[in-house]
Amino acid sequence: MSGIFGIVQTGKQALQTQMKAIEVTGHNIANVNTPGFTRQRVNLVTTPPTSTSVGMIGTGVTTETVERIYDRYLDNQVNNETEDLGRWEAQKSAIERVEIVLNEASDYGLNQAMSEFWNAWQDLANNPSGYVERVSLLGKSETMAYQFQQTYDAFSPIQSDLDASIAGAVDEINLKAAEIAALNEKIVSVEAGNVNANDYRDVRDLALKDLSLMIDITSTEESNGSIIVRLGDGNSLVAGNTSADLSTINNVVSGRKDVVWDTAQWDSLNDSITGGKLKGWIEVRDVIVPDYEDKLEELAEGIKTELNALHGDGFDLDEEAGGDFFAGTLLSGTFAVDTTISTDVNKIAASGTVDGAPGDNSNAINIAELQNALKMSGDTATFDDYYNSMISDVGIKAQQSAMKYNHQTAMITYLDNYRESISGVSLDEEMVNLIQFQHGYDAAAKLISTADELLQTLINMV
Amino acid sequence: MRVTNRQMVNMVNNNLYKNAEQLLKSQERLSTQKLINRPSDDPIGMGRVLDYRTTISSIDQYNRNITTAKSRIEFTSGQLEETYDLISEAKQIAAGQSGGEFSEELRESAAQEIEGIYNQIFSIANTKYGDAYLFAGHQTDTQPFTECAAITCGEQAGLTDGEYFTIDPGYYVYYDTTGGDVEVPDADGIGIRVNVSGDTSAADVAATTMAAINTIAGGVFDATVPLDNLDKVEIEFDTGSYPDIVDIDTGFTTHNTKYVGDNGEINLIVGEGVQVRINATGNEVFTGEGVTNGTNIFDDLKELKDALEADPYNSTTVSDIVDDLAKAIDQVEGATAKQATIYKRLESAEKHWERFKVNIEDMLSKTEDADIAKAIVELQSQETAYEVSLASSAGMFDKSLIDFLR
Repeated sequence: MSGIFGIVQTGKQALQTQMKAIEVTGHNIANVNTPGFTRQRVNLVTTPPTSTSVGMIGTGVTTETVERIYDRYLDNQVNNETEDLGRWEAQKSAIERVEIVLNEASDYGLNQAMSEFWNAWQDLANNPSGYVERVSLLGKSETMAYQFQQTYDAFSPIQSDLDASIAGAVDEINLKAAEIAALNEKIVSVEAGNVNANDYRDVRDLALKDLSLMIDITSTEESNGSIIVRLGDGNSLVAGNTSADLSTINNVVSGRKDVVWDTAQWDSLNDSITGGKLKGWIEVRDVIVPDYEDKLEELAEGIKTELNALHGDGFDLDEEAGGDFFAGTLLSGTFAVDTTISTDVNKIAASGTVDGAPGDNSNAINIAELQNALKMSGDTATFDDYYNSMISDVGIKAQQSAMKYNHQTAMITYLDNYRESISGVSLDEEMVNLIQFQHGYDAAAKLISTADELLQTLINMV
Repeated sequence: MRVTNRQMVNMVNNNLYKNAEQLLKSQERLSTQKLINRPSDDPIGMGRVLDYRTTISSIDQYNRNITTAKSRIEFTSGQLEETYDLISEAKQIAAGQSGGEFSEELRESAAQEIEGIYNQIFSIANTKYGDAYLFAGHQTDTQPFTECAAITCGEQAGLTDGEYFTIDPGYYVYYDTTGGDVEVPDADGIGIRVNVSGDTSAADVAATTMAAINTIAGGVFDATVPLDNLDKVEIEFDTGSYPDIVDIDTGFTTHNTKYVGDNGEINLIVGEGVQVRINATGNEVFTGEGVTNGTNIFDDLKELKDALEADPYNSTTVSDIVDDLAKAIDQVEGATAKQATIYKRLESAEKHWERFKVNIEDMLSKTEDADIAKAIVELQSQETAYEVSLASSAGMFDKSLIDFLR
């Protein structure tokens, strides 16, 4: 249709189209701060022209689609990096707690307690029959044993807390999976009508990112717009509009929580999890903390064994051979000075002669010299060396996880910025668009009023 | 590149977060004045810090040990010097008396002086340091010297028929070396005959003597052969006190004191794996047992006193004793010299640890302590950076296109 009514028609179409564009601009402006929002754009196209004797004349504008401006591959990359971020974030905060347990930077720690313990043996050597020296040695020994036990016992709450965190994460994963399944359904039904489900897709992308922070996933989009989310073991967490549930169950051996499928509770998924916070927590709980527990136990057992052996070679003030000096184990929570000695300090065997000569300090000297003896790590390290290297090791692990976390954060920041630069809302740009569309709208209105005047002129002629 | 509003917000947030984190770290360093506040601040440094701390703690302990050892040696040396002076005095008296015949009164008073010296040395030998006997070896809770009359057996070959010694009161012991006729010696009291004809060693003689005394005079005396010296017979009253033993002529020698301490060495730790011996035993200083050219100081003094009181007086005996006393002086001097050597060693160890400790403390401080000036400068520059970040961020959000659309 051409002619004046054609012009009116074109004007009306233009008004509607510019209005739509302003609506979308408004939507963009409104969501400038919405997490995960992807800016949208109205695709304007010309309507089909009409043929006239002088050639083709355009008939105006219309909207084709409203589409999201985004880079699909970027989202995948963000999700992958987010898995690592979650892992190192979880590990960093858990190791920081281990570091606090073993913090020797403050002045009184196990290192100091051990030093004082060995020194007390030298004090005893200086006055082998002295009551004060014996009581002091007993005190230092009890302090050291207590420090060992207390340090060891402090690991267990860390593991229990990690259990709670893991159970919490599993609940969150289930929620997110259900959310994605629901969104799948909506997106499929919307997009069946050949319309882009832009905002639903934004929310689903955000849910996927949240999921990546918890656990490693792979997601693939199907042609109908729904996505399949799979975990490390290859089974799908979300498929179409249904999601599977994860659950936790206490491991029979360790007593710690295993992550399992709700429908297959006998099969632990722990080993197939390679990313996300779950990986970080499981690693600290099952590998890193037990390693320090073992080392501490080895050290305490080493001191106990060597000391008891030497103490047994000596003789006490009652002229009897020395009994055990330390008793109990860290594992059972009973590591302490043997009760025979803690109830009677005369039972400390300082003498090296059979009749327990009170002035003989040779056994006390032998025991004091243990401090410098290479008894740990296959007879290559002293007890102090062993403990100090353990502390260094904690520091290195904490430093590494912090470094990896910082690296990952920088990476995510970079990717987020990159994504923002493509998909984010720029208010300045939207303002320009707004003015542009407003002017378009104004001009279209002017077009209609012009057509109106033309029509008026025409009518007046009659 | 397209820049969006959230991008700006993110950047500002990140930068402020980084600046604030660094500021916090600097603040912590400054307030604790330490570079290392947790192992992860510097894991290797932390390991070194712990090493240094252990070393310093050990050095402090070595120094305590050295102080203990030094004061003990000072005390011991004092006692030894006193002993030395006393013996020198005794030697002088003896030398004075051996020169010729002096009056009986003078000899009498000299004998009394020697007795005084004997008693003083006896009390020195039983000195306590703290609550432990100084010269007792390992037997620090037992008085090391007791007055007694134990007998040490001489060479059995030296015995001849009829040799005897009397035990006061009322007994004498005489030897029968052939197992046949023996002339009963001309002595007062009840004779105890000891048949040593089959004996082949000093230990045998001691055992036979013990058996004979216990058979005849059991109930009055209690004779024993001590386990640590089988060549010796110790005779005491059943009540535990000691009888006088006189007229000895059997190759046995009597001792006036009995050493019940042992030869135990007392060592102290003065460094890693380094020990020094800090005690002198009663044997080394007073009885001379086990000492080359050693002599029993108590016996020498007793002999001197007896010789001075002897009637008739024999100046040769006294001048022989002068030689013994010279040996005694050497013996005490030897022990003193040993102590002095150890003292020197302790002093040099002390100096070594002093210097070493300064070095280690320096190294510890370098590793662990924050350089205050540097930390303050760092803090200030970070404060500036933080302020600049804040100011520039504030400026960034101030303006937008809207301001210009009127």
